[in-house]
Amino acid sequence: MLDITGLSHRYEDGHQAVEGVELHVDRGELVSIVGPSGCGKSTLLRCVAGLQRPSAGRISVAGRAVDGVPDDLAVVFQDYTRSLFPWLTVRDNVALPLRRRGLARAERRARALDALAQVGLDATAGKHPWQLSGGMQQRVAIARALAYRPALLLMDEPFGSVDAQTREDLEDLLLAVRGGAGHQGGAGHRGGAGHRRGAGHQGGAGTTILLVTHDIDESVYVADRVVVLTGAPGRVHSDLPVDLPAPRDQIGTRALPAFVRLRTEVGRAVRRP
Amino acid sequence: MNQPARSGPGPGRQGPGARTRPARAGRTAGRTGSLAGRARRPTARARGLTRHAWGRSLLGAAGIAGTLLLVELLARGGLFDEQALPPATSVLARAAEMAVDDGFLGDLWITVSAWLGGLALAVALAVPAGLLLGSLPRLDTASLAVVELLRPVPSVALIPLAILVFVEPGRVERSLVCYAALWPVLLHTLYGLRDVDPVAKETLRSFGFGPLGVVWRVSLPSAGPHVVTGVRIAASVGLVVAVSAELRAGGDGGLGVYLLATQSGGGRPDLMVAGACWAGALGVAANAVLVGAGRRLFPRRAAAGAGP
Ligand SMILES: Nc1ncnc2c1ncn2[C@@H]1O[C@H](COP(=O)(O)OP(=O)(O)OP(=O)(O)O)[C@@H](O)[C@H]1O
Ligand SMILES: [Mg+2]
Repeated sequence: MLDITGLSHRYEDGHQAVEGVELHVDRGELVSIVGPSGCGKSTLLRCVAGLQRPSAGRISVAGRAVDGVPDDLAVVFQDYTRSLFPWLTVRDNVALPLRRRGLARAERRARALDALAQVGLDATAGKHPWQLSGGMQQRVAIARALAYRPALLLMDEPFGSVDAQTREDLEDLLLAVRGGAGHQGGAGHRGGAGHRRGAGHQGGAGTTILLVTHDIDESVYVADRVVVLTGAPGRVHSDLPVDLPAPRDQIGTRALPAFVRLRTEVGRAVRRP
Repeated sequence: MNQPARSGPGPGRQGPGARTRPARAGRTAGRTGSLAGRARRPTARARGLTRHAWGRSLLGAAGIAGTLLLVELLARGGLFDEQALPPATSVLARAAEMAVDDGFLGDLWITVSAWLGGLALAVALAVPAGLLLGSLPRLDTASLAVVELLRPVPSVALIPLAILVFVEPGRVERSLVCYAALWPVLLHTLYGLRDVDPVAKETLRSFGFGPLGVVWRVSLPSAGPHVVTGVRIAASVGLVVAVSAELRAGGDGGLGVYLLATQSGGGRPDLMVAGACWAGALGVAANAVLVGAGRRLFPRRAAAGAGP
């Protein structure tokens, strides 16, 4: 699905952000990317999204070289506040990209409300983004990406501003969205808003997800693989497969010896330059 | 999570009851209570807002009444020549008579149609031009320089030229209004486009929207409040130019022509001032309409200042 070879990027001011990054992601895989602040994670995602032309290297998505924004992509930006449109309501924010899907207005709205329900925000659909808290805004940005049902989903630190409980719910939501048919466990959203509309809505292959996170436990819990970057300039330090059993759940999975071993390994990799 | 984050003191904060009561209810009553509190808050906020608005208009009305009284006293007190300063009551009486005078209303209509026509044409030209220039890299800086250079030229100074070129007074007036209104709208559109958040544009781009889609769905709505401000300035400048053009170019009607007529035969200061008051009323009305439209189209300005 995604092939990155020899990717380097140097900004105009001469700063080398990433250097020689190699990454191959299969269709339907969920890969976590961890690494210290400023190591070039956002830069990497921006290059994959075609928002930034890398100074060297090749990126291809679904077999096609990235030149401009690839088809069927959604990005949850680190700067979620700025990526929401303040002149639109929450529902219309989520519904807007669906125009690209050629859906009728009613259908766009229904799908937007659906996605908002998945993140527990259906009650705020009529509000404007600036009427929501930071964590709520972040969930709107997530809902917008989910509603789009992209083939490739890039998420840049998407759960940074929500409380621990909501964060766990969103992690489980991500597992469901990925289309890994199995996952049904996990607590529903609080406030009765989380009637999850089944993982099967992806239809077929499921979404390939690149998730940037600072939370080492999270990177292991949700992922099929954890890629550790080291900083200045960003390089791939290690690429660890996560071989945890399929229906993961917050309590059980995190208690597994394999989980504990993996998080220790990732933690050590992040710490050691 | 129950309390929506608001940046900046929105007008909703002014009402003393509006802020504290629902918040406390939300804290004590727990989840369901907080939902109820959330539902109640807008009405409480609206009540606070209306109270606030009422207080403001009352103060404004008091100020206007006081000024009128002062003018009346000064005029009647013999301190000034009655020719120079007609008493407020007689001016108001004349202005009221004019409102039912078909001749004056015809003049007023000629001015209004030329003014709004020129303004509309300017908006129709300047906004697309601004969008085009502002969306092309580097061209926006170049065009801003040109606009900044041309803007200080007072449009009134071009009246003789316009008379020479367009001859017919109606066309002279319209083209001058259009010219004068063009710059503020173009300038504010260009500055508005510079202000558009690059992350917002990239967001839409990442969902596969092309450059036109981004301009239409992000740049324009984001620059919208700036554009409305530009149109407000253009409207007031346009009115000045419209009346000035009529004063100079004449023609067979218009507020300026009416004012010129009151000058002849000894002069009628009360009529002059009353006519000027009507011109002012036009400006106030246009401004109010545009402010209202801006609030309706871009609610974030009204409710939360600059937004998050
Ligand atoms: N537009 C830019 N121009 C110049 N340098 C930049 C630019 N954007 C980022 N950088 C630099 O590139 C490096 C990588 O930045 P990037 O945003 O990719 O880091 P990150 O890994 O996402 O960090 P964080 O976890 O804090 O978000 C940083 O050192 C940063 O200073
Ligand atoms: Mg980043």
